[in-house]
Amino acid sequence: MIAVAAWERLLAGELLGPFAKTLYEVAVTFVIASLAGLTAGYLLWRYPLFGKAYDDLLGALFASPVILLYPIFLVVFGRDAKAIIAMAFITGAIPIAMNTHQGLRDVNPIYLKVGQSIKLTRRQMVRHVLFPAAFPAVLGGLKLGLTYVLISVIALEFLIEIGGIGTIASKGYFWFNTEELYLGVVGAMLLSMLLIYLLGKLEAKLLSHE
Amino acid sequence: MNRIPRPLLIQAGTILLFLALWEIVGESQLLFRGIVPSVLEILGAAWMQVSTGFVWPHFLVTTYEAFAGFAAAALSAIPLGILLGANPFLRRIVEPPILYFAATPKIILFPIFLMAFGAQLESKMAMAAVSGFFPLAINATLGAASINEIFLKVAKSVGASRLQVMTRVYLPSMLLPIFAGMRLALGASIVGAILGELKVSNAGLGFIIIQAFNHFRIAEMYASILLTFFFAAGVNLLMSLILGKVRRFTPERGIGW
Repeated sequence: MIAVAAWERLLAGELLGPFAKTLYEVAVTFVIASLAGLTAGYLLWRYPLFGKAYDDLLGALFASPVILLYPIFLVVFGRDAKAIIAMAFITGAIPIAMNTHQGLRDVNPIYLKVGQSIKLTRRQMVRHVLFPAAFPAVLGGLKLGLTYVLISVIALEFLIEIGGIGTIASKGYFWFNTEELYLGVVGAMLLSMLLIYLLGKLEAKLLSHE
Repeated sequence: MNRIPRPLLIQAGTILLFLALWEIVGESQLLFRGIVPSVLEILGAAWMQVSTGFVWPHFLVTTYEAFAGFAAAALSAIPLGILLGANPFLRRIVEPPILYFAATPKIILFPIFLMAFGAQLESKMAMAAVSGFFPLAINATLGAASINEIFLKVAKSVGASRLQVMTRVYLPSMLLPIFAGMRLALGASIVGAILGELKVSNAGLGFIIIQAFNHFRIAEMYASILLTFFFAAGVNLLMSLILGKVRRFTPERGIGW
């Protein structure tokens, strides 16, 4: 029944819009969160004093239910995709920054000494020593970040109903349209599982090249 | 001279800077008036909610929902984890879907719970149960799978029954991963219950947050969010303390936890 409903809607073109909207929000948020998280992680490593101080703060923030702040973002950004992107950005950028920082910190100091002794420039050091050595941890952070972004985006779409796959489920409930409700639930679940599956494949592939 | 560690100074400085920026933005009228109320106003509202007793019934409702859900999660996830950890074949079949489900947004299931259990507390309990289930099941499986083989062999050689192996070998040596999982799960249960309340409810911390939002009583909304964060942080701290105690009482297991 759900499959039939899904097929009908797909033919009518009603399903592509919400999916595209969700994927668009996830993609935009993830790009911004990655840039910010990687930069922050690098800076935290570069300035260890701040790294030490902010690692605690980030950890506390990561452990706290940040998603419950969403009404604040609604108030500040309005009932808009901007609110979703800003909120999901925070949940995604924190694990990326923490993992990047951790990965860079755990780089074997001998590698750095060798790099120094052959007089690598800072740029060469980052490119040929730091980046490859920290890569698995950074990748883990990005994966975690994308998962969090996806969860936040769908959860917020469901909570505040401004379009996207999460909204389908919410509207389905309020209009007592069971088919639509399950369509939204199953769609959101499948979408996140597919993304996580692809991510795992990508990670395995990237790491096997190391 | 300088007794206070410098990272601590930076942390305190950052928080002060954030508060200062908050006040400046609030005063500057850069954003619509009322969106960024002064910190004192928020603290005042929080104090009002606590001292008038307004928040306590809602606090109890949320606690009840979260802990009932968490209990259901623990009672199902821990036995499942032991089962999967003890059966490598079963684990290969069941663990991947658990890992996939764990990474999906659980709140999307809430409308189903609403239809099944109604708009009262039960649907929020179900949210808490589903949210808490996955971190605990994953940790319990890992814990049971990495159990010291020698303990099992000893138990077998002294003729321990299945139940005895479960209660005398698995549970004691899994205490640490189970409590680590419980800490994560309880946090997830609380968030799950509150997210449900934010959507459809007539009581609970999530309810008073969204009510304040709907009536544009912004300072009160911030105050309720602040109290909710204190609640979550308090539970997390408590679980960390318990985890520390468990860690001290857990004997050497021959494997690193």
